[in-house]
Amino acid sequence: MRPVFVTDSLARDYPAGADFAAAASGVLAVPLSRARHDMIVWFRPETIHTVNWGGNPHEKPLVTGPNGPRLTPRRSFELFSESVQRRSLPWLNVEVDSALRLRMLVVELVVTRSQRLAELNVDLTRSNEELDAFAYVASHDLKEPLRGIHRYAHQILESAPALDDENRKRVEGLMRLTVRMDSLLDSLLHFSRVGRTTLELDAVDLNEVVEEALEMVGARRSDGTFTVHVPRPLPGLHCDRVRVREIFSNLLSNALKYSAPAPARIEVGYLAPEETSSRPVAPAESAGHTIFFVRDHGIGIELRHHEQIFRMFKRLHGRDDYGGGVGAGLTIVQKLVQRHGGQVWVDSTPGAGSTFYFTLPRGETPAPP
Amino acid sequence: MIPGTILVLEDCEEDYETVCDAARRAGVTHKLRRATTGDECMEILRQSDSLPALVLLDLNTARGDGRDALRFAKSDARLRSVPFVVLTTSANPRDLGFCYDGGANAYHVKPVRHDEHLRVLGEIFHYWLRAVALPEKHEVLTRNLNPPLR
Repeated sequence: MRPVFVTDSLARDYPAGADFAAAASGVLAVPLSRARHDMIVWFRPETIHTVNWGGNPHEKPLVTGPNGPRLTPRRSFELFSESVQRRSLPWLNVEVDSALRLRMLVVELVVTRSQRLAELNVDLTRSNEELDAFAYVASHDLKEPLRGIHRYAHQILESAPALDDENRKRVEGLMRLTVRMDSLLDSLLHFSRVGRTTLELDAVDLNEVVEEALEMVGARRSDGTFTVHVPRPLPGLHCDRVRVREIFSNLLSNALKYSAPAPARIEVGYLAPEETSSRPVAPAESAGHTIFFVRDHGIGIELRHHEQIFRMFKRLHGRDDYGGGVGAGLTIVQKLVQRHGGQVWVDSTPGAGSTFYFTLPRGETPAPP
Repeated sequence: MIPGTILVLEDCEEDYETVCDAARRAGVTHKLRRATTGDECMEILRQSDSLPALVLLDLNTARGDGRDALRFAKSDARLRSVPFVVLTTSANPRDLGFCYDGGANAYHVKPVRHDEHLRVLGEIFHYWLRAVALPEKHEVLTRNLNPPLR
């Protein structure tokens, strides 16, 4: 069977097609890929608007005339339009053949392109792995000299109690900087590891995960003045427990940080795919997936910074403001979310608070068949 | 009684000095013996008549690394009961897994902060040279006359 669908009356093959008979009575379609349901489709309008018959062609005047059984001139010139409704001009064989030939060419092109893409993909995977390995080795090897520098600075400070104030400050600054660089390297190492390790997918109760994440970050907040509200139990997920806990702990830690100094009120929740009315403005890819969120009522983020905050080592505030940090948390969250096939984005109003949304498509159990 | 030696595989000058520093501060009377490559470390272990009381192992060194030395020592019945403490910059879970699988007795990540580095070393010396109970050397040797338990 030839891979083509051709009709000059869509409504006849597909009754619902009557609704758009005017534009598409004739349809010629050739499939390109089964997997993606791609096809090329040509439409032809209903011919009733363009052609009017001089009579009903189905009622040929088969009346035997004086010269035997042959056609005699039309007797009726009444306009006939009834039976050609919802029909287009017929598709010629040459047109169908051309469509099939075009399909062949496109399919060949697609195959060539996908081979090329597959090659590029292999290259890309390799260079990504190399980059991760590079980040890992580089930060690892940078630590040794750093430890040496800290050691010498420490010794100068210990061995020279007579150091004047100015030089003492300088040496202390040197030590502070090495410690800072150490934490930057730790983040870089961690980030590169997040990119490389394989996910361990398992059935996970997100409520427990949020509970654990809270224990991890809540303890760091010394004044203990915060409330976390989970309005309804979170759904189960088939995901990497440790990594998803890290997503939550990073987002919760941020929410706590930027709620200072007022008592923090944080909300953790989700929106099911079918709850369309309450879904936030979201990337198109999130359609059909559960959206999770962590909401705070803190200082908020200006719109122009919404992209930047996910960048490595990007901080919007002074190094030691809001409890400090190296500025890797959201970059790591983004990487972890991406590894679960999802997106993370923020909605925020300066002075009113921020909501971080994310999806975890790889963690959603496939719908029962 | 002769307190014996501590064998230190360490290719970094500064880190080795920190080990010496920490040993001095902890009042360790053992003799420190240094190897800078894995091969040298294995050679010392192979040739010395008496076993070290403790081996401190850096993982990433040139020419045979700490991993090789660990693998060698733990597959040798004579050396198996000597405590091997890994002390490395790497916090890589893969390295951790490898070392514990390979029979390392402990694994420590070297801190960048010098005071913490000294503290960690001090704790290692205290634990492995004083706190923990280990078989006497002659017992080790006698035990090894018996066929190994399988």
